[in-house]
Amino acid sequence: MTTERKLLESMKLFEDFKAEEIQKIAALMRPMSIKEGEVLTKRGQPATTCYVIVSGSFMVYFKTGQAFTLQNAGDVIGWSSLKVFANHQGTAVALTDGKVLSLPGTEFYRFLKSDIKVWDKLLKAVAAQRADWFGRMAENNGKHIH
Amino acid sequence: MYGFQAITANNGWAIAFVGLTIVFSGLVILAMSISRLHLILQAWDNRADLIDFIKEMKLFRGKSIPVPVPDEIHEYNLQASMEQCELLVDSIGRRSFKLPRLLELAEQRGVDRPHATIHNLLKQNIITPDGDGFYSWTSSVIKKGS
Repeated sequence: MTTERKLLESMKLFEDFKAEEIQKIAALMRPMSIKEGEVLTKRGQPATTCYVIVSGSFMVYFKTGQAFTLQNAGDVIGWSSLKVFANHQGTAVALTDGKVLSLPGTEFYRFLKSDIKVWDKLLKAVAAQRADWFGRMAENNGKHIH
Repeated sequence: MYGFQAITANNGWAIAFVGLTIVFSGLVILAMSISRLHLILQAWDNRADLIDFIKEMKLFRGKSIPVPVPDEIHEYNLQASMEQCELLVDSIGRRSFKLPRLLELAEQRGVDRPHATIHNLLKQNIITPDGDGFYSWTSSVIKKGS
């Protein structure tokens, strides 16, 4: 079993996905080494790739100056790339050296288009995870949630 | 003399066998290259890591690999960087400040490894999130007498 597949299987986002669906998504992913200070996404630039964190710490910040950090394996940077013709909403920068799996939006979109059920499942999972994230953010007001 | 007799008389079978071997060997090599193409492309994508690895190999060939003692050096630099960040945070306010602004200032003022410093400050809960995407500086890192 590949690292990519293992990581995807451990992610809450893909918990309702079948093994073969995860295998197909894992095949689209490419491992990347990231250096401290490297910028992964830039606000306002076309969102073409999203990244799944394997290791390392990343800060994502927005136009307002608000920021949050991500350091859990399976956290995703660059959700906007899952939309068509969208720009990145935030800038993501690596605070430490790390590894990510990059998922090119166009290839992922092509894959999703080929299976509408998987697409539907993914959209629901993304919505649920984002609701959960904002819920935790509200609950943990004043605490470091990551 | 015609037909098989002519082939036999002029080493035709041996020539045919050699030709066959060359063509099939070529096809086998081609098939193996194509099947390993993804590894070659992966190596090309991560060529910087590969070059670093080769350089390290050259550097350490015939020498004993020195045992790294980064803790003392790193702790020293980290402490100095954290102190510099604390001085910088005073200019933007210790409560509900924008983390990207602190990073920007740290980069502008030449703080050593600003990204790693901020990561360590977050890890040690010296900088804590307020839950709305802004951050507060909770305790002083400046050592007395420094």
